[in-house]
Amino acid sequence: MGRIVVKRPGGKLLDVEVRETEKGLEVTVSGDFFAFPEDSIARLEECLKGSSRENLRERLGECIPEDAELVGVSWSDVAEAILRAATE
Amino acid sequence: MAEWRLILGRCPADLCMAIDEALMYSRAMGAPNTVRLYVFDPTAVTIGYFQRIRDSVDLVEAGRLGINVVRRISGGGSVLHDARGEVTYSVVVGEEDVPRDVEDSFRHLSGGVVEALRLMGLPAEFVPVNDIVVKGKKISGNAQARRPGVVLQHGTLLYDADLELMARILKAPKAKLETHGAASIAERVTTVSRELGRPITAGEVVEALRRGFEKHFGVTLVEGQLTPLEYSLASSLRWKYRSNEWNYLR
Repeated sequence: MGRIVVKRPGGKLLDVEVRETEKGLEVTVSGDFFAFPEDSIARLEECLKGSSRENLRERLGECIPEDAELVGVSWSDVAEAILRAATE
Repeated sequence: MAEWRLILGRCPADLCMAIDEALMYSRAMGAPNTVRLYVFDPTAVTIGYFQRIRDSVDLVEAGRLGINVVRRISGGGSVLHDARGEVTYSVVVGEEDVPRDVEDSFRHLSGGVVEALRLMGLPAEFVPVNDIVVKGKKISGNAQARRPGVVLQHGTLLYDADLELMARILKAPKAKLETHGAASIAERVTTVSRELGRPITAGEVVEALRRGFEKHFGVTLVEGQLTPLEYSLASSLRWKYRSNEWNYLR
């Protein structure tokens, strides 16, 4: 499992780490972006707990809070970084 | 002309951040729009809500120098609040007072700082997502937090900050510096004093900010104080900003 750091020009820093634990995957999303409401990132991390590499893409579809707004990065950036970090 | 409350002062980092959060809850309960202009005293570092503390700050160096590190409720990056070279502002307003689009609201709420810098004779401009620059160098960073019906924007204005100390304490990820075309934090950042080529005091900066906010928002800022309820709320919230559970959240 690994860590991916993304910084698009004009955007903010996105830092994703995926770790494999006994209970499945554990995802941490950090960086200097903005998210409204602020708890949307914690909710995403919680929702993804226990995912596996095999079902991660599907779980992302269920867990990404589409109603929350990101500034400086996008939800597709976050999803892509999580999937990449999981395959490192 | 509408009147907004102005609160001036100095505070340690935990209290500074607790007051900003308390003002959000107070605004939601009907308090007036408020602008705070304040100085972190002693010098401290704040980090963005989503940042990893160990990746954002040299904790060993900060500890050695006795500099406290506090997590904000707002996103954005790490900031050195130099007691002798930086003024912080906060604006707490109703959601109806800012553009609906978040990026537009950043531009709008940063307008008071841009105006203040222009009043001091500097060609300041807002650069999305949340920076204010002078001649391509960052002089102010801004961050927002939101609660139902309320927007808090707070930010920095570097007037004579110790940029060497900033570079020693804050860890700027390579990926970030590369996209800004800078080799170090010191290369990417500037101060009012450096741009004007003369020393400037915190008092002059506070006065320029006051006039800048009044002009930009078309309001009169009337100096006031925290209400007893706001002070009590801030006193309770301080404990959060002193706790490892909060500051080491990530």
